[in-house]
Amino acid sequence: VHPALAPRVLSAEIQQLPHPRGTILRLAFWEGHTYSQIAERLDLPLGTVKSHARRALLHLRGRLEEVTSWPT
Amino acid sequence: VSPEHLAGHALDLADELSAADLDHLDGCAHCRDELHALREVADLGRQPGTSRVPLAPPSDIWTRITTELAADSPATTPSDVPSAGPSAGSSAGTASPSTGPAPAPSPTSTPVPRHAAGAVPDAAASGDSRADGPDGRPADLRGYRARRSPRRLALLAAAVGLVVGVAGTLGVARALRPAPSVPNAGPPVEVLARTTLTALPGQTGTGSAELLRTSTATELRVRVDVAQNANRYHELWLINTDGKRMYSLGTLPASGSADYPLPPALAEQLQGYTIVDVSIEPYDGNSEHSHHSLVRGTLP
Repeated sequence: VHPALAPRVLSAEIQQLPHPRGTILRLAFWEGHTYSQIAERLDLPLGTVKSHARRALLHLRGRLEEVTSWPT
Repeated sequence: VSPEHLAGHALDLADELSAADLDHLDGCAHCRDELHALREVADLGRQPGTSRVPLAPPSDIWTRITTELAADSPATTPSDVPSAGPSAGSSAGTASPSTGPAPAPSPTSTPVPRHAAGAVPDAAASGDSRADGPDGRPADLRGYRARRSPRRLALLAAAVGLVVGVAGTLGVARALRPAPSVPNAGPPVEVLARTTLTALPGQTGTGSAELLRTSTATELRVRVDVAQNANRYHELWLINTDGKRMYSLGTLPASGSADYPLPPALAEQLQGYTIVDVSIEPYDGNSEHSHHSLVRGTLP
């Protein structure tokens, strides 16, 4: 897979993430929210938001690895 | 360092690591690797190239595909068939413009396609020494195969290859020919954004929303599947990401499917009104949101 496709794969994956993980990443990536803003908006404890964010990021990383290891 | 801290720092640089955390990172390859991995994804996610809009292929993609195929297809028109020699058998399914005139098939010089030769591996070794029986039939099967098969197989393979190749190419060309008109066939509707609507905690229901631009309006097309309730109705809202402002786009029919024109001020830019929300409303004459939402999604 061409490296230029990675951002597109990523955006597709981000859009498919379930709430609240997807919401957290979208707010952080695309709306430029800080963690505390996200926590406030979603009414979640800060630690929970970060823990979701970590899992979401690791998930995305796994998906990216799968995709980039495909033969072109 | 706690994994949450690392993720926090990776996603939100303002979320600084403490001096103690940084010290730990210096000495801990495991944490460094994790931070690096998270950072990579986060950086990629923040790139402008990671677009919020779903991935529509470039509009000229079909034109480019058909142009490329059209450049190849003259080589396989039926008039070329007689000129393709046995070697065409080895290029079944592809247009083969370089195929020259067929070499005259002769028992000694016919080039035998590899797969034909492979089918009778003993052909060359057994030679042509066996005589036919009195009735003209082969003296034995082995001799028969040795003399006749390579050539016949070669020709057969060539013929099959040609038929498959020509039919395949013509078929593909035919299938693709009407394609360029397809993008222009429907009404000109551009999907600006779409999102899935998911149930809020404790609620059930699913749905999707598409922001469409037609030649005359910007519309939100909504498909929602939520439980019906005889004493309530459903209403569709666009909520601002500031969490304070919202517009009601109207009531949702029992079918769950409707197209809502956007207020003109939002038609060009959603200006933060990106949260699509379906509420359940009591028949109380109060036009405000009931604060009881069922499904929700955020337009990218």
